[in-house]
Amino acid sequence: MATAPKSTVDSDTNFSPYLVETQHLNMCFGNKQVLRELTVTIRHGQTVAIIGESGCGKTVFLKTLVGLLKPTSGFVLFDQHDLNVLNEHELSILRSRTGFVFQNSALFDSLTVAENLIFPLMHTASASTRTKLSTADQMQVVQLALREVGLPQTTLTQYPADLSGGMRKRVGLARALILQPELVLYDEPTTGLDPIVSDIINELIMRSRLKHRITSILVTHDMKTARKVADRILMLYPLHRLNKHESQIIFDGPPSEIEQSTDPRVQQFIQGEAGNRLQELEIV
Amino acid sequence: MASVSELQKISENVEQDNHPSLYVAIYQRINLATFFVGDLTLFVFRIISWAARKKLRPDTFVKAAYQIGVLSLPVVGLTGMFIGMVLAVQSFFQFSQIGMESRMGAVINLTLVRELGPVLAATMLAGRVGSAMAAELGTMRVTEQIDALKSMGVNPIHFLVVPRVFAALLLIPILTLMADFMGILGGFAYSHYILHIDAHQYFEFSRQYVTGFDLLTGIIKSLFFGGCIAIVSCYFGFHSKHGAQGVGNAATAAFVTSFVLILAMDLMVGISLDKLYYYFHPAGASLF
Repeated sequence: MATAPKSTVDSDTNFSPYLVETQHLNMCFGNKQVLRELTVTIRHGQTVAIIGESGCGKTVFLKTLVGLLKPTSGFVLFDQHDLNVLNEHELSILRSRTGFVFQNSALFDSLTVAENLIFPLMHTASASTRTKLSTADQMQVVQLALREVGLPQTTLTQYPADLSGGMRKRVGLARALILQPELVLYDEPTTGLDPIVSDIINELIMRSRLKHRITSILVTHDMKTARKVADRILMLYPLHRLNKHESQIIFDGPPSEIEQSTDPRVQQFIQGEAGNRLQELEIV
Repeated sequence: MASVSELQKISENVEQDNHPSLYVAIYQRINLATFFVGDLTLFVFRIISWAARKKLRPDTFVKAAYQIGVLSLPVVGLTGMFIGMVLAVQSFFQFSQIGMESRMGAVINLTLVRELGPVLAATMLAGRVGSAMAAELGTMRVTEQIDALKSMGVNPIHFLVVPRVFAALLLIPILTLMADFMGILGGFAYSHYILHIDAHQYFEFSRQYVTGFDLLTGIIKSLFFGGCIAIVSCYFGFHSKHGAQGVGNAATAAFVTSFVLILAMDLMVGISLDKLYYYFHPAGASLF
């Protein structure tokens, strides 16, 4: 399990097999608790899919892993660094070792695709400490990143508003991967895309993982994505449907085992059946 | 800075409680106002801290300066000119009744450089730039672009707010001078060419009554206004609620709050500078 957390990013590294760990993580928004006592460890190189119905706290969990949301209590350790005790600069350095693919891509709409891709090269905390790339080198890196996600070079001068949803997702993926991060977080990477584009995104995630040996955590509703991409699935359940002492994680295992789960809640989700929910909603 | 959810929770509680008793309603409003003032103060401290800690990026500053300064210059100049003309129309009616229309220049120009120039430039800036800043940052927040910045290790206060505050502080004195100049020009043109006031007398009386300190008063006021507009607008943008309505409300709140604060600061800074002036010059002589 977890070794003692490091307080600063400059501390000596004691090797841990885990890149990301959470310990007794709780998250509340006002009176509403979203995450309860989540203790999760994610190994280097692992691809974890977090599934669960809407509102169960998947995205909140994902955002706490890089400090975009601060947990109400508990710890998040990234490469043994406790995010709670890091100052903003140290947090910035750690975040530059991660990539985040947002649900709606979150591309900067006032910048072109090329400028969006150059942005991490120019502005991240790690970019300021590493050797500065010349403009020509930056363009080469950008062109390569675009090729990796299968987009034509003509896209470079376009604005995000001019692109389709699938293209925006691919640019978002290229931007997240451009600094070759150790950890990539995907927030519903295939939501809102047609099955073919969804599969393209799945393939790109798998290829980038193989090519760069990165650790990936993806939040998804899409069981096809989870089965295809992940080597471990975590299923979260909404707290308001759980008893006080029940664990919020109702499944944790490889994709091959999820079909055999005897938990009716897991089966209901993977089969996509409404079950007794219609009666709960009083739909007649 | 308090989290967005905390501020939203308090304001939502106030909005949702449809029929609170008078005391509860007063308590809720005071609670909300206190939280707003405290949170805004912390926001200001964070801006100062990031401005001191890390060098300003020239590219982000130039972009903000262009939006705030260059694009506002024509509209500020135009409105300044019309205000100068309106002042001439109104002053002529009053002054001609007592046969003192030759002294109109003093009144028009003094009013312009001390009050209307800075307030007008600031109001135009709050309307044109302040609401746009709040809407832009609000949209960035609801579309997770601010989260994207953070996820790349870029601090959004340093990247988005600090350049806007610096640009507003630097450029609002120039916009104020533009409003003053165009107002003086408009007032004189209307007085001389339409109302046939003698040009020599017009400027001679202006020279006697309008001092360098009056001009300085306007410039000092404008610095307060510029800082206030940028900070308040960025604050509301950063705390925008989700959806089109949330962003729209943030833009409206940014303008209304900036405008109220501009008028309140105009009064306070005006009184303070006058007290300072009379402290050093009890007889009321000019500083320059």
